[in-house]
Amino acid sequence: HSVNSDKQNSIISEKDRGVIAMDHCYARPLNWTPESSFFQPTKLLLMPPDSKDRKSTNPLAPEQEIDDIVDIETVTTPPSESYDKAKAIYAMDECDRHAVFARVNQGNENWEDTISRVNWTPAQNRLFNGMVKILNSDRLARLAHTDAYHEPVLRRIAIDKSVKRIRHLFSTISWNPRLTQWLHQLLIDNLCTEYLGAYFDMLQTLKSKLPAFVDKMMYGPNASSRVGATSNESLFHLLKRPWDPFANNPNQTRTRKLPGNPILIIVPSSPSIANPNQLRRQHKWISLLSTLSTVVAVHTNMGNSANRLTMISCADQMLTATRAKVQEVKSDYPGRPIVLVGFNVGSALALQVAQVEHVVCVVCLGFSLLTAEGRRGEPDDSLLELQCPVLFVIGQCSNTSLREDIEDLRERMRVENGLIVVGCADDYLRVSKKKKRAEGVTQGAVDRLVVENVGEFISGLLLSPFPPQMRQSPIHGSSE
Amino acid sequence: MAGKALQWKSVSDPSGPQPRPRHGHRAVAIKDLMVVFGGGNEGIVDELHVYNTATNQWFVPVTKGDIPPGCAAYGFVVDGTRLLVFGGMVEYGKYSNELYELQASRWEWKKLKPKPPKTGPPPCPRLGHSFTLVNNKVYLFGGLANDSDDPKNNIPRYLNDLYALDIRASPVQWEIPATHGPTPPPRESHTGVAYVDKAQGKSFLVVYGGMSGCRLGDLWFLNTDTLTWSKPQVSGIMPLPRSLHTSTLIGNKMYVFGGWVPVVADVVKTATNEKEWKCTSTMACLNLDTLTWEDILLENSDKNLPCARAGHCAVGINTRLYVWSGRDGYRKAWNNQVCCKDLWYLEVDKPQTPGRVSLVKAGTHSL
Repeated sequence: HSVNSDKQNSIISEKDRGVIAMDHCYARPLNWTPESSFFQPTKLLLMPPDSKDRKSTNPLAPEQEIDDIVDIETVTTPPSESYDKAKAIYAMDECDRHAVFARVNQGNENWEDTISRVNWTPAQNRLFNGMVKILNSDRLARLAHTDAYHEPVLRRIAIDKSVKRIRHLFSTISWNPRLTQWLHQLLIDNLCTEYLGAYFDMLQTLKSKLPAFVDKMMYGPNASSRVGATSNESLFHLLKRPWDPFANNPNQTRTRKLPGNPILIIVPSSPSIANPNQLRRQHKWISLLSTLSTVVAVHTNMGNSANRLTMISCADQMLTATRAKVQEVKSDYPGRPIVLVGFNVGSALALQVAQVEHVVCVVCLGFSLLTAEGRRGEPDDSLLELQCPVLFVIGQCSNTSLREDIEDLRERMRVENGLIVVGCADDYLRVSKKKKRAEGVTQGAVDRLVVENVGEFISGLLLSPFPPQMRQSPIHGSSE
Repeated sequence: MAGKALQWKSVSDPSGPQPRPRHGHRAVAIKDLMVVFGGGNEGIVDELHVYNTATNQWFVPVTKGDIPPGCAAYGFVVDGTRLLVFGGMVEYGKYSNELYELQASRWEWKKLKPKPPKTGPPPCPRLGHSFTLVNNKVYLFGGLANDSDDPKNNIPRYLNDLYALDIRASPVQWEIPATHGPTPPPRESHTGVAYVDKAQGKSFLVVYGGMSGCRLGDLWFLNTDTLTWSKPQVSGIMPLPRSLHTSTLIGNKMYVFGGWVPVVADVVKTATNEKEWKCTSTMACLNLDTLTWEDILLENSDKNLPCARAGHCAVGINTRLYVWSGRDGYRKAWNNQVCCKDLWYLEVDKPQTPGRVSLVKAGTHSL
């Protein structure tokens, strides 16, 4: 009888087999190769793990599974949001509340028809019609998203889209200050409550992108005579920064400081930081990285002389400045580990610096495999000889780095390296609107996720009791 | 040890070549020596390390003969200076049923070809079994078999078969003892301890804990004279069920340390997944004379306690319980399992009065 009971007991579930494998993980799996030990497994963010099995790998045109049975009966409860929904909705409604406060009554629902268009130029007409279209579709989006799952995220995406359209519209009139000032006055005076709230939302986001332009637009000829909730003074606080459902989110503020108190040095991507606006995205990264550990930025302000330099000498100057900064940090904080972080072009420079300076690792956010001089990873590329660990972060839809190509490069590198692929993101790791909507995230949340994973990579290296793994150079043999 | 709290001591900087941290290894004691073999971490270890507790020194003996491949979660027993190694994982997903002998006086390995039992097939390849020497026979119980030929696709099966190996016979021969009473259910990564009650002239194989889909906490006795399985009534506070722990007999007490235990639901938390496990650093002590789980008073400071672990090894040397390495939960550095590299001992009883030889030795050492 014991044979029988054995057979019954031998039905072991997949999960239990996982536990057994986990309990008895003494050996490497058979598909392990010496090559694969030098690169960590690729991490996919916001990508379904089974995307490999799909017939179409193009995330923009996934192949439809027509054989699938569509289940229309079971009601699935959506998982709870990864942000504080009540707080997010409160933040989302802030502009609407301000609009309600600004209008004594509901305002005229047919506000558009009451505006007299006497003496308008064709440009004014075109601008106004374009704006009305944008406001109308924004209104429709808001109504469509009301009470939807992830409403704050959907609203955020809709506003971003409207702002994009506004910028497109304004570019057709060459950002003419007179016209935009006129339009702003007209809208502030005439919009009904709902539309005014929506307009505030757009203004808020637009200001974060083009602060100088929005200031100029708002301070028109008779702006100072305005009083009350629509005056520039009372709008100032509202427009300070766009709301984000993930901001001040208790679930996400858990980012822990890195062990060993490393110093993250930001390698410059351009010769000067004359226009801070250009580097806004970089600033966001820096403030996120500073949640991990101390961040030090390399300043390479060459003033106007940068305009007269060739690209090569510019790059040389940036390299020298970065090396000087590394030396400075080393003497100021002896013994603290140093991590180089580069964005896009900066990541190439960071890899260059890592060949001559001793650092813990290099983090390349938005690494580009394609350069003006050809592809990275060709046999004579010094990158293959690099001796410090590297983490590449690329977007799935990047034009300058295909995941397959990076994997190929990683396999040929001598040192431990990691790769993070952000689903549906571009060269700058910006996630597409569709993806944000599908995943219920905002760009800020994605960036934070990336930084969390970067932190995991760095702390893995810092905590590991073994030095980073390195293999013999195929070129130089064992001479080192 | 009335009232006196026991205190874990970390062995700081032993000399000699340090073995690499690992889990799934085993150790046996020969006098003052702790002999460690096998185990693995990202690769199965085939090295033999010996730690001399008297000189605080690791050394690697030069072995000869039929040197076995490395193995993990195997069976390891010692009879005098004769060591026996059976089964375990030899490669990813590949288990062994081979038997090797190591003669520690010459450090010579020999592959044994035991005769199959008269009444059935020899034991199948397995890991996580218990392999326990009781008097002149080694008892093999349970473990995990793999029914698949493809090592990538394991079909695991928990075992509860019992074999005995008479090691005084030459050549050694497997037996399938016909047992009476209820057989313990299938399991792996349990422990077996030999308990000989000299006063009553009885000997027992004591099987404790293990894994069979969930961690087990049951205790089974096999009377090796009457070949009767029994599940004794045990008093005292039962420790948490566990597997991949160690059970070490020192005196008449079985000391259980570490392993995977279920995560106990906090009073505050309501829903806890039954299949959530963590490593533990807790000790339990079963008095085999009185069949009582006894309380152990431990000097309770986090610093002076080995961290939670499983798959470690433990031996009893005199009145000391030595513990080395083991894995530290699911902690990972990238895809490497992080294993502890520390050596600890716990003085569980008053040391015996030193014999003449050791006194002379101590005297000459101080010169």
